Amino acid sequence: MDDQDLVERCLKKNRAAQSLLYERYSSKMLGICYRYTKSMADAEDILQEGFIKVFRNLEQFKGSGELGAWIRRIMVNTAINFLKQKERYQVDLSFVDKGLHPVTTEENPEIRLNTRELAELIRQLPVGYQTIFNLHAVEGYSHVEIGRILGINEGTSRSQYSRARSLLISWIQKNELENNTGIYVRK
Amino acid sequence: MYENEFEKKVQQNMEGLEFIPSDAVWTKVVQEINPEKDRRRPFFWIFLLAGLIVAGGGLYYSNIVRNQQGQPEGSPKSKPEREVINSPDKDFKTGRSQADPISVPAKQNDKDPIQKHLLTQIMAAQGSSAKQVSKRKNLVITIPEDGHIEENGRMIVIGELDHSLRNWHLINSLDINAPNSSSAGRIKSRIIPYWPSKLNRKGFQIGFNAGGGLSAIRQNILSSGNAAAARINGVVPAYQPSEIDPGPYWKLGLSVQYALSKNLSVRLGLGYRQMINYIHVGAYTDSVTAIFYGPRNMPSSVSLGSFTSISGFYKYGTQNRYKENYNWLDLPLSLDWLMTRYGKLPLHLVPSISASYLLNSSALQFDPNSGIYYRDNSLLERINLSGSLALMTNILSRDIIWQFGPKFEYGLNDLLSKNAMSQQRMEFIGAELLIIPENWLKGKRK
Repeated sequence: MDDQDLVERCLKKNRAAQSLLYERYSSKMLGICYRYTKSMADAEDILQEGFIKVFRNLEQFKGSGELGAWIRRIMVNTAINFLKQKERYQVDLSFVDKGLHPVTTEENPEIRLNTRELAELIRQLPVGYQTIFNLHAVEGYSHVEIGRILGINEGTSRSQYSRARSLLISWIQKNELENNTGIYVRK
Repeated sequence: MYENEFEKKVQQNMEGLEFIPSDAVWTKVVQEINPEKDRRRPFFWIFLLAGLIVAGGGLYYSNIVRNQQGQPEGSPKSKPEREVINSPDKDFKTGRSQADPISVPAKQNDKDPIQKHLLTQIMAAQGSSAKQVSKRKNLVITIPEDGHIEENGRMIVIGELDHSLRNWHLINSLDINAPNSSSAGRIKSRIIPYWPSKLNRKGFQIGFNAGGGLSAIRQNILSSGNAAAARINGVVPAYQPSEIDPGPYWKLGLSVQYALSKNLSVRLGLGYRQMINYIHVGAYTDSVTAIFYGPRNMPSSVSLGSFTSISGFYKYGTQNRYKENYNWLDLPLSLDWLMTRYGKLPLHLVPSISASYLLNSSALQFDPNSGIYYRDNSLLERINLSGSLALMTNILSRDIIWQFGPKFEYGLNDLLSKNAMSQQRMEFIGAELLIIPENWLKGKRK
């Protein structure tokens, strides 16, 4: 059953179709939500809220694009709103320079980490860095778009991203050094 | 486009990041996108359930009450109930083949025999009809005409259970044409609870509560005025009262609940409670006698007291069983802590304190010196405080939240006044039921 049929059935409140749509996309979408948060419980909250929006606004899905991409946009927007509203994320989202200075790193390091390890490193970034890194590096948003989404100017997004990137690369390199030599390097 | 290879590698890597969400997520999504229709439920069923709970509580208490003797602890264990499940090799697509049923002892079969049983019914319903009635569980599972979808050899089936288990949402998917024959017919199923978001509401809610079980009175005989005087004079009171046998209690009331947070609510109630106990006494006589009332633990020679004339009393003995009746007006204040928000059974811990006003009573008092039993309600305290602890769980239907569980309650003060020659404290063990009609104060929903 293709996505268009599935959407039509969902619009008729067919529960089996709703369940199938959820099963088809929930795992991947939880991966996305997970990258934006610090805990799996928060990620599931976003997933839940996101899917409620998906089902309630399904008639707005035009069918011209991919259903997965449409759901993904909803999840990312829901995650951003969640971060803005959730108390524990608000301080970090104020984009105050916390003295995390960029370190000199190789520009394009070889990433030998597996998906889960890399995701964990991204999640260790301060929330502001984490959010901008996800939006730019993974979702592909431009800094102008990120500025509009987060209510900051383009330059702030660009500088924050640069710091996040440097920090992440240094962690990746340290991780790989640890993996290769067995020597633990403090982050 | 990306500035360089690093972003590209990260993006490719992150595309593979997936996790399986917990069942609770889908439960809440389903509840939000498919709001349930309102229905009215006859109150007969409410009271029937309350009765069953009371009976269960009574049975439990009857095993532990110390006054009940000659009753062996526990009862012989019955043989495990057996249930019949279908072979997993059945052709689910057509549902025509009649595979030999496998008889499996229920206790050894699965940690969740209800789930197994329901799946059997779902499987049977696929090929035959949209409705399947289970004889064993008396469940009706309705599979809507559009309630299943086939895709890549996998079938998603949505079954709706009948009203008695409407808080369970049933989701099944099963492989009907899996390439690996050993996995054909393999069921992936989830039966998940409906309850979480219904319990997450804020604001006021009005509910009815009922309860029942067994009540007991613990008594302690004190030396008092004339008894102490008799002991000083070398005449030790020879009389001890008979044990007070436990009896039933029941209660009904209204309560208003206010949610302080997602997990904590405070509840104030107003209710009526009747409590019955039994005491063994001798024959009744219309004679007149005098009872000394004085401060406890004080010899009559040094205490200020008075003799009261009693007309009509029961003599010392055990040949008659006298029913003592107490009627109370209760004002309980409870804290409801929802300990487990997810899972098949939500658990609430409900500590309470209750002020009770004694409306009337037919209780007998005992004079340890003369050994007689007599009525004098002036010796009963009108106001009593009690503390209780209940462990409750929920069953949610479409329009009512049912909360029930065992409860233990203990009297915090003496049932008798200081002039009485004994101390008595009440104990209750039983079950409590709280019913909150959902549509009341609907505007307050979270």
